[in-house]
Amino acid sequence: MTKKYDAIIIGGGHNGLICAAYLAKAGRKVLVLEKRHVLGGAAVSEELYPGFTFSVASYVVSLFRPHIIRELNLAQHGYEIIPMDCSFLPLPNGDSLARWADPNRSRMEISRFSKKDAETYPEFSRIMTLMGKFAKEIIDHPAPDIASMKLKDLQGLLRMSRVFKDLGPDLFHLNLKLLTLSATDFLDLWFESETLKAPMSVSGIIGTFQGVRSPGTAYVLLHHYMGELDGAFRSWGFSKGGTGGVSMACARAAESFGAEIRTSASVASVKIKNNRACGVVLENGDELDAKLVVSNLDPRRTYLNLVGEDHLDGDIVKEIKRYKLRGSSGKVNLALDRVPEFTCCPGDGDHIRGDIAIAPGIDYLEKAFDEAKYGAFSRRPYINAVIPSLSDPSIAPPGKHVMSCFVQYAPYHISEGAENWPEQRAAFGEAVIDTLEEYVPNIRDIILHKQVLTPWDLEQQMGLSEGNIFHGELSLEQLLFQRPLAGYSKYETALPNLWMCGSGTHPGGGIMGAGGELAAKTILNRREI
Amino acid sequence: MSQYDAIIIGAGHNGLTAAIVLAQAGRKVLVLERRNAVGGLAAGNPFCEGYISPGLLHDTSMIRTSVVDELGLAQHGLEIENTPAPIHLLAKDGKQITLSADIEATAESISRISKTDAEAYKAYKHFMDHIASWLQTLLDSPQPALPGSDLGQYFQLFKKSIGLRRLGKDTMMELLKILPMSVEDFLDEHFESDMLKAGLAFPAIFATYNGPRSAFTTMNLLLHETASLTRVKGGPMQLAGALEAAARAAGVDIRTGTTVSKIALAEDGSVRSVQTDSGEEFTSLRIGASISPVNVFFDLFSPYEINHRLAAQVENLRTRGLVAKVNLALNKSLDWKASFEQPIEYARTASSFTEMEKAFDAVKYRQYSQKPLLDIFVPTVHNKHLAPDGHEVVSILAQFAPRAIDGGWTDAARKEFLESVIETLAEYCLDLPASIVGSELLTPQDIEARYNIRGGHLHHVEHAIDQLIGRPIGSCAQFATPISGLFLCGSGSHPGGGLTCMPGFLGAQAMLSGKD
Amino acid sequence: MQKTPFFPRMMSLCESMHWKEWAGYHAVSSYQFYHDQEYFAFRNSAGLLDVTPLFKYRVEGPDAADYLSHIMVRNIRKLKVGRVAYLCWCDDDGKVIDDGTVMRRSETSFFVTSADPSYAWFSRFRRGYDVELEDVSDKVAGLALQGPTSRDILRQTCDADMDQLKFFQTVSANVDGYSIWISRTGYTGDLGYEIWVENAHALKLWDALMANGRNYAIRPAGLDALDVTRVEAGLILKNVDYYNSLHALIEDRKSSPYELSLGWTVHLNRAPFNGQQALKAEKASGSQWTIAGLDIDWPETEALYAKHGLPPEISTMAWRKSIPIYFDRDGAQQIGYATSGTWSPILKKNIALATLQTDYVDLGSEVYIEMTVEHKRQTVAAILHKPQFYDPERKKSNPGLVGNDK
Repeated sequence: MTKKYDAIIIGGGHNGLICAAYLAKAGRKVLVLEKRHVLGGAAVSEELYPGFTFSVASYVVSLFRPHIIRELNLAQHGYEIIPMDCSFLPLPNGDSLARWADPNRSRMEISRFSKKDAETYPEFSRIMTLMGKFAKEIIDHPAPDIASMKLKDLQGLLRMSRVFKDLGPDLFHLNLKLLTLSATDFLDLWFESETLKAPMSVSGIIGTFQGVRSPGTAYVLLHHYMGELDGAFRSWGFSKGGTGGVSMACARAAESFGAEIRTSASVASVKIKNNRACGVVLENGDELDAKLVVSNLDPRRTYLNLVGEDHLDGDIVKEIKRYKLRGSSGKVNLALDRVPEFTCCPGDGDHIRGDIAIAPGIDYLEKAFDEAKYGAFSRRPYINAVIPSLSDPSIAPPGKHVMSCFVQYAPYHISEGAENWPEQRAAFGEAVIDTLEEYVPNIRDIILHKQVLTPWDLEQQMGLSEGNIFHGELSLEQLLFQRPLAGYSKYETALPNLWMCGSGTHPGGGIMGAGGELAAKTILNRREI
Repeated sequence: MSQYDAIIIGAGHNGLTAAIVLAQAGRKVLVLERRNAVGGLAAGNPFCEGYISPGLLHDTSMIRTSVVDELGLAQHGLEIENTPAPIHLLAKDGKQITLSADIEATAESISRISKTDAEAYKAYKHFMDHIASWLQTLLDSPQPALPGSDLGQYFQLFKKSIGLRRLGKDTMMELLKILPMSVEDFLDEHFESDMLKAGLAFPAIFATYNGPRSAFTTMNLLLHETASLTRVKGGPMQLAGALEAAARAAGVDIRTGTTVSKIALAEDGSVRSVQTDSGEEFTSLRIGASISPVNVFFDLFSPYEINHRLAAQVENLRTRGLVAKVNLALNKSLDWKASFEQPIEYARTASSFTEMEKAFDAVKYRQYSQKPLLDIFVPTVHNKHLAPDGHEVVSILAQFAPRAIDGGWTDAARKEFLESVIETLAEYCLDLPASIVGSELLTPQDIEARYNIRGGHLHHVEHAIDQLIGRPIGSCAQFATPISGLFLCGSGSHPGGGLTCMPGFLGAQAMLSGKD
Repeated sequence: MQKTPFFPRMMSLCESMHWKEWAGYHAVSSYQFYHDQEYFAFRNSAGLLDVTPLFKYRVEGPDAADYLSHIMVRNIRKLKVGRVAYLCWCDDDGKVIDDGTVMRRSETSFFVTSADPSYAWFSRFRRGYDVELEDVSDKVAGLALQGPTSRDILRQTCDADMDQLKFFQTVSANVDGYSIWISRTGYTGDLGYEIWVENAHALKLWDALMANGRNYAIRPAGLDALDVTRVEAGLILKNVDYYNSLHALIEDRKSSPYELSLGWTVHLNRAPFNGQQALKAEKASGSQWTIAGLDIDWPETEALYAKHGLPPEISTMAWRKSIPIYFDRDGAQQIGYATSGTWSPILKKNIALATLQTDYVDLGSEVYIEMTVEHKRQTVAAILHKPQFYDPERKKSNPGLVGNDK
């Protein structure tokens, strides 16, 4: 008989670790099991090549909930964010647009493309900040169940409706637009310059299988303005040592509270007795018992792999099969011999120390999406590149750099079938380098090493079903009380004693930590353990 | 200067409906119409010697019997049937599916393509019928005023109207799940046949800036499906004719060929009169505009009379015309590849989601579709006098044809688009090109010019959630506008475009309810 | 950071290296470590200040007056050619977006200055007007020449008849082959002018003014000195005494013209203009807030410091921060807040501008301002005063003018 845990957490991603930390902090006996040899899940740093450390998958930190940093003392455990000052858009015609944290600097820069837009920019920020109040309310609480008549849910709805009411009629309608419009239609309400709108619109499509003109992509624009509401300015940044730094801080915090963490411990299934979860079975056949089990995996894996159809009601199986993942992005990590020089703006100045967007126009982005719609990766993709080694020399040998490129679109479902991605991997990598070459002509000459991750690879290596970086599409029917399933949106699953805490739960993807935190707090509030 | 109780600007189907409601309530009503004929988008137009096209809009399935009865249109020659006309989904190989009110017959028709889908269709229809009455109630009553007062109230209303009791929790949860979905994802869950799915999805993207993959298009589908219940015998012209007759019978003054140039305001900012191009002035304390809201606020007032908030909201309305009208004059009957027992009136071409999505892709790059999607109406099947004996008129709404295309609607562009429409139709017919003796193409630009609709959109204001809830804008959603005495009663108002007559009907009631 | 055309001159003269950012430009705070001499130049001779960072617009066309009347709270249709109007503009709710000046240079041509970038806002109202709007902010440079000898210096410098130019009038002129235009306006509440010139001639103008001003004790002056004079003159400052309503996050941070004591700039009864309905309603019902001046009791201040064995330690710099104002000495009832203040070297008074609940504004009566002495919060009496503390006769007078016009 093995020793019994209060909770076993399957998956050592940042949410799993945060969940473990909160439970351990409350005195519970917690075990985290991670399949890989490193912790972090998609928020992981790996020294892929000697001296070069990469944020292999997730690469910037934005909406990490500041109260988690405070409550888990993450700063003491090594959590350190280097703020990003600039969003840089190189253009093929040799021009560029840099948006800065300094409003006057941004205004002057944007006014080269449109004076009106430059002046409207702060007004837009103001409106988005106001509406962000609503989003913050949503992110920081479990999603109330709209069909439920329970007191908690009614209170939640009331709280939400109060925030809505505070918006007033004009902002209410704007909120309706924000939730339903495409990113470009929404930006069209304010701006005229394509050069400005294109890099702004991409925040609406990151990680989704949607184009900037697809309805429903506008609301993610809010995320950019939420940092202000947290009282944490310039909340976008790099984690010191790569995004794995965030995960490692969470792991150390969890351990400091007494949690046990095992790597290279792959869970085969959830152990079920009397139709309740009671532990896990490892790939090596070991069985571990626990009062409850929390899965940090995506909903499909959790239900269909860990539990299995046999243990689930037919309706649940049907609903979970409806759950859409459809990964759409890949990652290309480059080890560079020196600083890449952009034709439009050479040098290693502040402009390339933030995020660099290859998004030279709305049509460009939409065409990239059209290719993906019909089952091919974009020949000229949207790229979001960062060179964190310019601000954090610890991750590359002196004078050398790491460049991390988030690439969209790389649809999981290519016409040839997802399993044929390995044959397309090289061509995909080339398309990315070809694209970069148009802005950094000597990029090929300075590449020392190259790692290409297709959505297939993300699925195989990180366990992200269909390579979806958010554990499921962020479309409205899969958010709030419907994430991941209506009726099971508050971290519980359809199997008693099995819980979820990953990005497939409310409030969704990104390095926010909210899923892990809210899952743990819900478990503790309900005195489940 | 003549004095009226109410003046209606625009004698389209909604304007006439509003006028009849007001006149029947004993008001002295004047209708001013810029064109020389009434009926607006429902009016027929001679388009080549001996041929008359039916209304620009040709789907009459959404007219409400309740409105027809209330207005007494039957006495003025309107014949209405309580089932929508059968719609034929066409395939290039001559296969076809007939969607009709008879579910068994429809399933039978589908089973020739797919047995599974035939069964699935029954379940699908069952679900549609289940939610139909709830959706109709939403569409047929004025919208609640949005927030400002008390939003908790709104949530209550939402909860109530969503009808937990009436629909049941499962249906409600299913609705919440599917409303934001793309029509492609939604129909993929139910059916396997490309042709059936595409045909069913057709109304979900009609006249919208969407392809079948666009989120929220399922909502459009539900709204259309649950609103299509009737048909007007003979088509839209019959509707226009009956409305005009009913209006005149009720004592409405109708002036055609009269362009309103300005709505004049009194000292206190409320409406006082309308002034026309020719210098005439008609006074009234109630003015209903059944023209596009953009035209109302931007053409009929001095700029300083529209405050910034209102102007900004109107300016932000999306009114991108996307549908062109093609009228064809044929010297013989249409000869479909598919065999039909009797001549058919309504047909759709769209063989797959991919074809539809690709047709839409063009719009994003400011181009018209190379392979347009056709919504076909053959009015001469029931209305022989529109063409010489044995001849045919074919009315086609073709999309996508955006209002603004790169390079503009040059003669060459118009020619190419018209040809692509004819080519597309010819794929489903025998011997078509040879039988064409005349044709007319109305691009959204032409529609804008002919009907004076800013943007040339058939619905005045695009149908999209944010422009359906609080339609067209929050401050005008209950038909009254921020300008005292001015009401909206056209397609730009709740419940939206199409030949429903509801905006006119509800708008007129709002005009009656205020104090005089 | 941008540099104005005067930057080379300012750079060589600015010994203190005290600079600050103004609308994205480098601006001198004070040329010397202490700004006193620059202040006294404004009040006793002439100070020369770079005001190029102001935003500047050319509005031209047959409908220009109608268009501006739609945007501004003043009826610009009635502004005579050659006149300048100080005013503000509002949103639909009658809340102030910005304040500035409008100069009517001809029947159809206007020059507008503002503190915030306003091109986007002005653009929104062009529909339906035959008017051209051009942002000339980075084409036109501006200098404020303020102080008793400023008229004499200009007389030496350009060909305009300076004796004719009355307060809030504008005139075009020539200086050695290039043209300028002058408005008798400024931010010091003294005799003074603002001079506008195309960038290409900006340095020549600076040099000419400095050369001709030598005999009139001209001195380049920075923003620190200006700040003292503007508080003495009771002139409010955006983002200090009020917020742009388009950028305010909450309603409480928005102000109407009446609340800013700018009611006198509002022409209410005329064709509709932005904010008219709301302003009419406020005019009828009264405003919640009023800006007033505070004359902070000096003997009490001395006494407070004396308790700690200190002489009064009052900075010579103008301050900008929110300080509570109370109805009663023990600070139980707050009735508003001061937003800026200064020691007035010329009045020998400690003065402030405060936003107060209108019901409590009774000029001459006593309120109490919070003052922290030796880390302890206390209150000091202050007498309510109109915002304008210093208003020399020379500001508006035209001694050289002959005949009836004088």
